Amino acid sequence: MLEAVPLADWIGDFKLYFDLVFDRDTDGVEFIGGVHKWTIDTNWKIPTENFATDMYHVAYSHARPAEIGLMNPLTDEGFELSADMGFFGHQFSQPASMDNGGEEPLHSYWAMPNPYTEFLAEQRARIAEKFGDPMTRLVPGGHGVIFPNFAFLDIEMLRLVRVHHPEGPGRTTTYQWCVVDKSLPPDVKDALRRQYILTFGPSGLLEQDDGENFRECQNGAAGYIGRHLESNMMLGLGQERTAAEIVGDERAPGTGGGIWSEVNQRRWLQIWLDFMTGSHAASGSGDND
Amino acid sequence: MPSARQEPEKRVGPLITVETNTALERALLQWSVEQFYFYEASLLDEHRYNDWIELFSKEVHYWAPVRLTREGAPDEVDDGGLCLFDDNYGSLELRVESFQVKSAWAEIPPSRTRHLISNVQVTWVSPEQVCATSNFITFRSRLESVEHLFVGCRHDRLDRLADDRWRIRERKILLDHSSFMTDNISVMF
Repeated sequence: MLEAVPLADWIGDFKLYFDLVFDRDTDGVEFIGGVHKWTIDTNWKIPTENFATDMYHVAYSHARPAEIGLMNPLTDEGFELSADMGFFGHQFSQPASMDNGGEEPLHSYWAMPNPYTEFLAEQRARIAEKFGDPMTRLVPGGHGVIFPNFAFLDIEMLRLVRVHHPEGPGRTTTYQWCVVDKSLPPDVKDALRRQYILTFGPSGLLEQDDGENFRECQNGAAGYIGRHLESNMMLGLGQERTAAEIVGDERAPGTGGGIWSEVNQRRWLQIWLDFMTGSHAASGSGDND
Repeated sequence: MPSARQEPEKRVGPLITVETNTALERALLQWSVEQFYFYEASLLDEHRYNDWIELFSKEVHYWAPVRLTREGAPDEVDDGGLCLFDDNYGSLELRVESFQVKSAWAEIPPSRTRHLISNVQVTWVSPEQVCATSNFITFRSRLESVEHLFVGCRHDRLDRLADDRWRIRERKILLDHSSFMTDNISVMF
């Protein structure tokens, strides 16, 4: 019998980041009722890499919300880092000490009025008290993955978790839930729910284009030419740093690079390869009856 | 005044009210509502989104709750739960605008779509409004061989304007899918 590894052991040092995303409210988080389920004709690793690492798709895949004034362009300042089985990255938000009574958008990213901002400012103030200013630039956190296929998104206008369930080599079903802080007033929870649906539900103004691109990545890679080309995954190669250097806090675990880096992609795929070849320490002996 | 979301529980047999007390009046009302839906479907299939949104009231609630699999009450949906759409006029405008910019990858080039509207029933009538239900099959063909099918029904509350014109005040869409076998949902219903 193969026993599941306890969550704390599996995510290891990533727990610090995971708690910044899911345990920053005094009362914890809750899920909005219902689940979004949809199936994309793509390999499960394509959306998973996307959530583990891919900030540079935002300006191109998601030019649409920018064109209609929903989102501002990203800055060059950010992080892509990983620790144990967890992967995490985004543009830095401003330090909590610069929060202006909840008036300013934190990432300067979502351009619409956002009733969550003032509550996020309170949470950031508590985190600043505990950790100091540098760590608050990771709140809200951004995109993330727990290896292999659990993903999350924590940005100023919504939070979601999802699982990319493989249905064979060329098909993936996503199960996705909307997450809100338990202590928020009902109208703020409702606003976050609507913002989630409008942007990252299957009909969302960002998710629509992701679905299209994930399928066409698969189509392109599966064709004759695609099968005979090597993918370049060298962005940020040789520029890896410790997370402590990237974040500016000795307590930040793991390693990574800047916002425009494939460092997480390389490490995620290495772990995947190690599992597929049975060489990963956690991949077991194969005696799983 | 009943809300569209309370249908179809309130539906009670053939439509006879003081507003439609003759067979001819009922037939004309049915014709008017059907023609409105056929026109609306043609606007969507021709990608005339700016004309399409003109058919909605500024107070519209356009929503499509996710369907739950549970015993006894398959059509029961929760207020405040997840939806495929949950739009007011402002967010519907954002959707319409977003289909028409140069980076709308999910619809560039535009999908070939066909909205088939049927089983139209006018279920409630007042001088200012009617409630109507309709079924739909929407076919989406994309690029070379991507094909998606959406099936469901709509519960509408329509504001009555002059000259057989209508405005959609509320639309609840029940898509008959729990899990979608589509890469995304970039068509409107």
